[in-house]
Amino acid sequence: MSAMALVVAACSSSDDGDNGDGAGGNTGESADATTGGEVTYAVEGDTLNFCLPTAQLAISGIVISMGVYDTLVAQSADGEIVPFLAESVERNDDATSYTFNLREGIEFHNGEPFNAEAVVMNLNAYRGAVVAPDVQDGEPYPSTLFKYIFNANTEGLAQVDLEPENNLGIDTVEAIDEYTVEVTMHEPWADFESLLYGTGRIGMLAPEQLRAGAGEGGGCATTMIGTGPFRHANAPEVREPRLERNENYWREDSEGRQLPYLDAVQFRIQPDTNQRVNGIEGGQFNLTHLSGGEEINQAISLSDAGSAYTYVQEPGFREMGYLLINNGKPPFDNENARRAVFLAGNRDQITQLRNDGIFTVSSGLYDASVGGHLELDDDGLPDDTDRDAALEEARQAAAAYEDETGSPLSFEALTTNATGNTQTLELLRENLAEAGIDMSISAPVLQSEIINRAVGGALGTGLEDAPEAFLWRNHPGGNCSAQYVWFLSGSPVNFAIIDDPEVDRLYLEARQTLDDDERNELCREVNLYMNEHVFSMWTWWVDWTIATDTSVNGVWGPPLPDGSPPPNNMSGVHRLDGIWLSS
Amino acid sequence: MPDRPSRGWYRARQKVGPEPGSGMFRTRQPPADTEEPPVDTPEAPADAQEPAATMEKPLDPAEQIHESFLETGAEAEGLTVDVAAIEAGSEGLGKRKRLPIAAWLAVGWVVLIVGLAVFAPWLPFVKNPNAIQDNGGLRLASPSIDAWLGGDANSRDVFARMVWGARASLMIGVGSIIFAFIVGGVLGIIGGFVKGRVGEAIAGLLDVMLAFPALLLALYFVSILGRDIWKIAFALGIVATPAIARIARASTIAWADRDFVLAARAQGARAPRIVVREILPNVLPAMYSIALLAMAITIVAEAALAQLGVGVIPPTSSWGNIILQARTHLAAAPWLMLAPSVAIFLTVLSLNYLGDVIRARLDVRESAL
Amino acid sequence: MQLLATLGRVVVRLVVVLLIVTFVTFGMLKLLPGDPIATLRPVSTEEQRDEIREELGLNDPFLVQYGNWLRDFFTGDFGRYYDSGESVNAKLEKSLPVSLQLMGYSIALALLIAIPLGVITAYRSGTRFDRGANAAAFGLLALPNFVLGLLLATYLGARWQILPTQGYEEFGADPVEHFRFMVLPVVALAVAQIAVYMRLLRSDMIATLQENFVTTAKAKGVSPRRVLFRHALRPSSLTLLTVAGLNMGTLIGGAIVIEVIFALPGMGRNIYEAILTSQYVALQSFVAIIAVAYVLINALIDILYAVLDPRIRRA
Repeated sequence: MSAMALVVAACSSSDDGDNGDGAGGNTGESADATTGGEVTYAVEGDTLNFCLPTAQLAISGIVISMGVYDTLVAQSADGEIVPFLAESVERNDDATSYTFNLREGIEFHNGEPFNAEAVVMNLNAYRGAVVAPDVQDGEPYPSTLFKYIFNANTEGLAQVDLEPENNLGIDTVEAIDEYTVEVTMHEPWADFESLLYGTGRIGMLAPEQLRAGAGEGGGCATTMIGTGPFRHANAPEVREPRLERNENYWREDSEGRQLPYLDAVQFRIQPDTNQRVNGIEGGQFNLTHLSGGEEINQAISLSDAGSAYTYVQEPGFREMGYLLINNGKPPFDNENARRAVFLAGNRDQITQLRNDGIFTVSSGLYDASVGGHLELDDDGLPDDTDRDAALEEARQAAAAYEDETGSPLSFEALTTNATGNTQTLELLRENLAEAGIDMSISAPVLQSEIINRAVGGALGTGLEDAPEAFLWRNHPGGNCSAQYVWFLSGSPVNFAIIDDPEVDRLYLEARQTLDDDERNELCREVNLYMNEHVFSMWTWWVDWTIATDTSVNGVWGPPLPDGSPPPNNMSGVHRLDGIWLSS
Repeated sequence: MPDRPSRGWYRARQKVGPEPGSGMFRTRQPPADTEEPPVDTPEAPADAQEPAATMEKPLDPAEQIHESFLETGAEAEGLTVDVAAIEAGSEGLGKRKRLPIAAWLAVGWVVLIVGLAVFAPWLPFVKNPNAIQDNGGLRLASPSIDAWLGGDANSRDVFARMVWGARASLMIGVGSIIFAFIVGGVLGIIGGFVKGRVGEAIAGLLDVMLAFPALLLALYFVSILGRDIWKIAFALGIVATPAIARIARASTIAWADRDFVLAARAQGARAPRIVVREILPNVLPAMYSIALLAMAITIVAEAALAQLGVGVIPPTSSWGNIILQARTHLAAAPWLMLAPSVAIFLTVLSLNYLGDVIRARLDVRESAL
Repeated sequence: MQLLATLGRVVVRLVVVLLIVTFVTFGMLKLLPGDPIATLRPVSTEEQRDEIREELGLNDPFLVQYGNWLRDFFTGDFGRYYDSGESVNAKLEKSLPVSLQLMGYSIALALLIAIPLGVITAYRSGTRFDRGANAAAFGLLALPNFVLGLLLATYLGARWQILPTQGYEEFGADPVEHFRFMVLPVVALAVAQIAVYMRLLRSDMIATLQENFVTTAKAKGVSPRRVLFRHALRPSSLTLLTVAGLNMGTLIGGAIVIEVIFALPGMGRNIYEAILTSQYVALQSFVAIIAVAYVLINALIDILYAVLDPRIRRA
């Protein structure tokens, strides 16, 4: 099933945005688009650091980032990576060198020119290299996750500097001329562009913002300056930023009208999902995103009644909600333990109850349109279709675990204070109790603390403190091999602490494989492998939903510069420059 | 009209102490108002039918007997205990009128709740509060024969969760009050009995604690100490302590100057003996009288803390976290919110009412001295 | 002079209490679990975090930190949030009005309803209306303000869709919306106050109505209404004011929960979020401000009484 929900082409036809569930408005381009007006966008969480090289944006931050920054390349609704700020991208035969030909005549919001020098500064910041003598006092930029990703050291983050001979990633970044940048790799890197998009996280910052200092209290975190359709009007406020139209934005729609249409976008934080939906109905918000079954159903009722538009993500590139388990220490370093918990957890019931019938049980890492996708009945995961049989098998696996280790199977699941999360864990706990497995729910902690402890585990510095299990949501689709970031041993975000040579081998090969089919086959192999070893308890596909009031149109917007369809709610990600209001 | 006694007369006014149900402890009291009291209050006899139902009345002649109990309480800036709810009327004291129906209802409710809570594990009609009923079929189900209060979002039986929630809420209530009474009582009595620096220091310490809005203080302590049931009880106990201590102190001061105490001193009795034998028995009634009220307040406090995300840890249910989880389903399942709300309301109402009744009785007995 | 002595004593005590309160506030926050720097930079090394701590002065000795904070506090610098660098003052400027509006409207609404009710029930004390009102008041006091708020939100908001249940609009931007958003939270906070004020006023007025000057006025033929409102109400208004002031502590606590429930961007919500995210500096300032305000209000009331009623002996 295609993930597309709009009409592409350069002609200005409008689309009625029918996404299966819930009615929608015009989502693509329209000749009726009017300029002006302001929208309020309610997001689920706050982002406090917009110094992108050092940040790790969640969806709430990515949506904002989409408004202020542009990326060198972008992902279309087909999952393809196409040029964006770069006019074209060339790559040599073995993918060890990429040449970016930049668009000319673009300026950052502060007037600085977007050119090769700026791009080089950005790439150096992301990869943790020295940006310029006057940036960070000539010291390497303090990025961490992206440093790992772009240098791609097989041993981990620290080894990027300590053992540079093991770096597979970026070797050099050079401005060839004013609008051409060349990036060379140590080893072939077939899916580099996918990571260069990073689900919208790798925005291009103005040199001024990079110079503002990434450190504490530095302006880089709080003053966003990009080339995007909107400028950061209320800097240094970043919790609820106000974006106002960039009059000099470089993009136009198919009729030559300059984008964006809107005068301003005001972001508001509302972690309570109920209240986000109520806000659409009550007129407090114009747009919001939803990722839980109950509120999505609420939004669908609204749109059925004609008072809202609801766009539910279709199968194709969805991310997953799941129980992330720590394979690096007891009890889950033991495969029997993992099998037992997987089988005892009633995934169908959890998905049904917690998501009100909206979501479906997932079959593994990759969704339907992503390479490496596995079908539900053939996914290598332990068979939990028959509840009684599954419970019995779980008990046996738990008994085997106890035989092997001498202690009964029990663990603690970490959670945040979000009511939905605790209820999901409560449900799981009851399921596991049926098989005699004891799961305790921790006193809630902050999301950042969970991540913190998980990173400690991944880096090896804080394995004891690392969570044994926690609820997580991740892995939106795109290029399948790009997921290696999460699973390669040594990665600072390998929270599941999967330290498996077969996984490493397959992913390292995949990232080098130029042929799409071959790469997809490798992805399929690693997907199957991880399922068979139950490295995670994949639970449900997340059908991200964008809900808007009935005055909002153009939520996906015009085609990308090369004509491809723009991201249409890829796990909540969409552009803001095509939005227009009808009265 | 009888003459006014010459000592600073104090008119009993509205109890401005722990405001039942709607907030936390507060013991500041406007200092004594020395206006002439009304003597002829035709309303008094009419209201004497339901003395415990109203919390204040103008004093009538017979009530002047209590003034000495009250007056120095005012000077000590302590809480004044309402004595207006007196059945005595003008006939005399110690006359026991029958309890009104409302009191029996209140007792009935409290007994019901406590009974359910205490015997929950053995009651056959109380299901497992954490079990997923009907394989998910009870999700947000309306009340029915099978599930008296319906089902929650995880398809659990709400009635069972309410009963077990009563256990948690009551444990917190009782635990915190016991702590506050012991610690607060000791602090207060010492602070009231021992003149000079120590007394002043204790009063000052209490002042500081009372300088924080109580909920904020509770939020702190729970954040620091943790959210197990007994830790929450402990935290709330700490928060309640200054208020209890002030009452104890005020009451102690009131009694410490009484003749019989001076007499005991004159006879050579030492301080501890005096405290235990003379003061304590007289101070305790004042404290008992607010025990039930204080419990009501801590039950509400736990619910408030739950709304702020620091209530009892799931999957253990408490009335507070049932309310919290109900907030996501207000439109779809209003009874999820109604059940704990009504339960809290009735419980607080009953405890308040009974607290008043007890106060009335104990005060009457006291004044017979 | 007696008055000056009283005043002096109050002021001295005030200063001492304030110092202790701020010191304890500061100290207690150090006990809160959670590492604000880890919240700031989850994916970072310990060295990077230590650097941040140095920059923020978190490694200095306790008393030094306290001293710095105290100095800043009393010069009006309430610090910054660690992550966004946003100044607490800026935050306060936006959130303090919201909280003050919430509390102010609720007091106003409560008085608006409680005064007539109190007067009437005092005048007609003993009647069924009076007993009914008293019983109702007693009952309403048993309903916690946030529970009432949630019930209102359930029915008037979620089910019947009459009023919004969350959000806020500034008065200047849209007065109608402003009040629509405030209705439910204000009513929730006001109801318990109505009960308290009404009963207080009633008992006060019953007493006052027996006074000589009232009998005199009646004898002079002044209409009952004038007697009630112009003559009898006055002495009671002081008590009412006092209780309203003393109610602050309860009100502040109630406001915190109400703000969280109704998503009002006030100080209560700021505090709640600051606790959740280990924002020590901001939290210190908020709590210290509230504590200071509360102490000042109490002191003011003390002084008011000392000034207005010199017959009172103070212990």
